[in-house]
Amino acid sequence: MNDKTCSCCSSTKQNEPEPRRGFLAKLIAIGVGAAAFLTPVAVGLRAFFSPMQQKSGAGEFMKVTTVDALTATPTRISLTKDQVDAWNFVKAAPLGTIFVQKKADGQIVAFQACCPHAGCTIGVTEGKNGEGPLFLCPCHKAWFDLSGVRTQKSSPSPRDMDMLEVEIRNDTEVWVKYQNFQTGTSSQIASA
Amino acid sequence: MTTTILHWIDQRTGLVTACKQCCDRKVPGGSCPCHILPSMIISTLATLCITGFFLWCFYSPSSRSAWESVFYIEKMVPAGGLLRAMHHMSAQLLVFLIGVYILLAVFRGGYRVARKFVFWAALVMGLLALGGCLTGDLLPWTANGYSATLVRTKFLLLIPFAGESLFKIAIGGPGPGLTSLTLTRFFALHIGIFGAGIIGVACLWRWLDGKADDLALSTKNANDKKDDQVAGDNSLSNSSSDADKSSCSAPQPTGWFWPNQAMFNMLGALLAVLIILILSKGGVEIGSPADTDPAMFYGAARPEWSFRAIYEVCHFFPGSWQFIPVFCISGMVVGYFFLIPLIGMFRQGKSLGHKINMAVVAIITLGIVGLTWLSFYKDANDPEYLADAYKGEKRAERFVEICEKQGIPPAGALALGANDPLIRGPELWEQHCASCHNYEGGTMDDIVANGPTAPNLYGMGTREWLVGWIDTEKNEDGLLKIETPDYFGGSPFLGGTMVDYVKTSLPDNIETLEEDYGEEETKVMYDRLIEILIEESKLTKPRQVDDETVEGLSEDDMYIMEDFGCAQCHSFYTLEAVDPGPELTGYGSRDWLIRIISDPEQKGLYAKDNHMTAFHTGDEPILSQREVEILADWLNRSWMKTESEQSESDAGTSETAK
Repeated sequence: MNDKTCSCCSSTKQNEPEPRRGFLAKLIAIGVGAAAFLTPVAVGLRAFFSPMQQKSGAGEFMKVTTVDALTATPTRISLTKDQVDAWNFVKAAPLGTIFVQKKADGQIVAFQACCPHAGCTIGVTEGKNGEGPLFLCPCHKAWFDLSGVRTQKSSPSPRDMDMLEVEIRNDTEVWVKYQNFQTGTSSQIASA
Repeated sequence: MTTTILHWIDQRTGLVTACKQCCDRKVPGGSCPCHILPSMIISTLATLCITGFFLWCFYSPSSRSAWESVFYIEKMVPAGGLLRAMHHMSAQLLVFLIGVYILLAVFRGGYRVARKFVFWAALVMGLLALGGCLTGDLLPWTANGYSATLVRTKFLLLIPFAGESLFKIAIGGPGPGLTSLTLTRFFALHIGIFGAGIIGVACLWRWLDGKADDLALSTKNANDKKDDQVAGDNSLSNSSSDADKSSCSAPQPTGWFWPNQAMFNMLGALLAVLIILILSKGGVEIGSPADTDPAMFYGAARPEWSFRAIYEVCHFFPGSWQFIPVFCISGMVVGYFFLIPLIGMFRQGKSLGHKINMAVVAIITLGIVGLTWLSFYKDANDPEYLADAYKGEKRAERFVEICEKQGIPPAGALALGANDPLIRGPELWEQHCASCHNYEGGTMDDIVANGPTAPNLYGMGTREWLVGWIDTEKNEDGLLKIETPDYFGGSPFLGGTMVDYVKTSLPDNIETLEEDYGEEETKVMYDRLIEILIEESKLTKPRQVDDETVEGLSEDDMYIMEDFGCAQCHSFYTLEAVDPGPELTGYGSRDWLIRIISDPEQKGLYAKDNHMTAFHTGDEPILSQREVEILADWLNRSWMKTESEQSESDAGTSETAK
């Protein structure tokens, strides 16, 4: 390196790099850099993970009918529910179909009308041998008795009809906990 | 152990060597906080992109869901409002910082020799940032964004020959208005071209800057060895900060990038994020959903602050001459900036080119700043703009209110608004009623007709409004209230029976009553008369009549209607008028309003001497049944109320609201 004096300002600085800073500088650089980068990431993730806090609407009790309106023959009820799809609020969107009946001893029983085999809607029809009304699924001819039990030795359905929880509120109101279940399984598994 | 792993990674990727090289870079001129501007820009850009991605997870680009999804982000998503505000503010900060960077580069001569391409890269970044702002403005599908974008895209029509095609390409459809396809197109441009583009150019910019530093350092070493003075232009040997210390040839110090400069850079990055957080504190307004109906064009639509200068220049040019400021002037300004590095080479010895650059840029900058200020100043002092802006704000607030309370139907928020008296009422009024009727109460909600020929309907059914009809006191011009334009003053009824009655017979009537019952009692009866009419206007439909009893009215009430002479001309339930004018049965009630708007010549209304249009009769009515109901509800102030409004009206404030 030559010793130089600048002709205009008499500076004699050499072309040497400044000393390298130490550990603290490195720590600050990494820490502060991370803070700067992670701040928007944190805000974003807070929003991104927010669905974890949300509850799905399935599995809530809803009022479907009154005790007096029910008979021993199952009544078919189409349920609707106000549904929210993100920011859209749909009034009375179709939810599903159920059967409700009042047994001889006064007990109220409710079934999901969705067949556990492949999801067709079960209907009520007269039994072929004069046994009175039975449940029949029209798609693959699965028969169930009024307690939802399969009547055939080898029924197309892997399990009996899905029973739904019933509550009587205020003596006269029939409330049912509507739920969907997975089809094709031999045990009852609730689906979202 | 770590060295082995690092060596293994480095052999296969070269990453470790690259990192080391980066850390060992020398910074010309020494490490210094004054170099943090590029890091602030990168940090702002990073914040923009990160927040942009997370917003992308929620946003839906269609005319029926864009505003609604933004509403969802603001109101339903935790930290959604902050996320959106940070995105908006980092965009503004980015434009600002790039602008500052370019100006500093010009005035310090940092665009010269080694850094020409760095300068050009920064210019391209600036343009891409502005493109991002323009496309981003439309995405929330607000009234402001929609109207502003419509104006901007329509400028393309001014281009000869290709104009119409360019317009259609820009808006993704045949026009004349913007559609969902405009949104999807702008969204793709926003992220795919401007967003990705600016990231790419930013990387290029930093890489070019590094190359320029290398060039500066190697040339400096070469100069030292040569031991001669470099005439004039010493920008080879320095960073952008030291260009103007041009005549000294002494060697300048160098610094280390890691950790010295890196530390300062990261502090700069954090500073940028903190600035963004501070700017985001107040949040960004939601705005009201765009109405594509040309009649609903938002008069107070304005571009972002960064475009205000050119917006202001456009005002100096009429109609299609706006081609000049939009394309020619802005084209020349942008073109000049790109030529700066080349102009700077002119007469390098005397730095003449550089001085020209500084002068021109100074003028342009002052012009932009001045015009921007002027634009804001003019708006702040323009009553029409302020009225439009106020109405826009109220509309936005009301939309948020009804969406929160009622939930947005699948058809979108606009569908909800079309059914809301507070939103749709004034719109219908302006289109159909304001040609004859004022709606004026001295508030910012006023809609004033051009020469009203029918009564002012502001405060219809309130005490003040009702009293005005029968006020026997003359004003300073010697006129009764009923003779003023607020009542019959502008209408053909000015010379009619009612005016005559208030002028001559009513004062006598009142005098007689005072003689018979005393002043105090008469006052009580007078108040009750007004009360009866106020109650009538709050009804939905007329009262039930059973035999001779009217539901809710006493015998005394009926006597009051007779005593003041009203029942002489105005039938009122069981009281039959001798000389029938319009009935007072259910006067001002919802049913009455619907009937009179639908057909004023119906029985009991203005069968004779009617001058008002029938808005809902026959096969092709002017207004639908629902629209008539909306007008009625709006006039009657019976819309879904906020909590504060509800408690006000519950407290029995029958005065005009506000």
